[in-house]
Amino acid sequence: MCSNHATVRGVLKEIPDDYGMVMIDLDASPEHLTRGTTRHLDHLLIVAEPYFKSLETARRFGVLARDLGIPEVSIIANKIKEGDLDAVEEFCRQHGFEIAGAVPFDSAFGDAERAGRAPIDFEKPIGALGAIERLAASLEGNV
Amino acid sequence: MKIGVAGKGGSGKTTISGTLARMLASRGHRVLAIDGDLNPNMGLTLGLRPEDFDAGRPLTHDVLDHREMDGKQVAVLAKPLEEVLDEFALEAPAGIRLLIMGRPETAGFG
Repeated sequence: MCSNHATVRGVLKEIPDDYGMVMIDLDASPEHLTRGTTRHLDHLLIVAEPYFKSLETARRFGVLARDLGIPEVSIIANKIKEGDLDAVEEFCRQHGFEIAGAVPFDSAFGDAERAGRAPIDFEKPIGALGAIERLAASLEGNV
Repeated sequence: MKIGVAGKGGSGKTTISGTLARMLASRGHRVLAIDGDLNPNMGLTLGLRPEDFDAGRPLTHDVLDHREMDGKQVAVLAKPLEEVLDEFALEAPAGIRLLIMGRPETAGFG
């Protein structure tokens, strides 16, 4: 019995559909997919940076997620600088993934982290939060 | 709706999942956050102070009962979800409740 994963899988299954929004931050290993921890998700968002190893990881996760039967699987392009989005869009076209959102690179995230603050509570405005807010709005549309 | 956020280490998963959770809560949704990383830090992105976050208890196996149904083992909650949340969930800003899957010192028992 793979306990931690099995526990989360069991709890996730038991949360009723009308609970509201359940947001699970998964670890970096594919275990949450290979062990089926995420079997009961409605939507898996895979965060990918615009470079090969990150996109390749996203592709592998995406394939596993589809095999598990997660109804919606999409990509969030993160830390995007000028010109980067083309590579992510091309990757998504090739592998049949939707892009749920694109978050620009913003050094203020690092500033917030160094200050021990949540990005959303940070005193300095973080421009890239606008992209995450749009993502939140689009997820609402799926409820 | 149950949403998971995955990706390679360092890709920004926790920043995005924690911030999305806060934004959805501000938009009026009841939000349950689950930190599925055995080295958890979603709490900090949700706006908890480190000392409050460190006080959180990871979920234990006994929240589930294993029953046999049609010859198959099925896991069901051993008590109502609200009781599980009252026992284990941390209270984060914007009314978010946070469950933690594990911590490094307990990982070896998996």
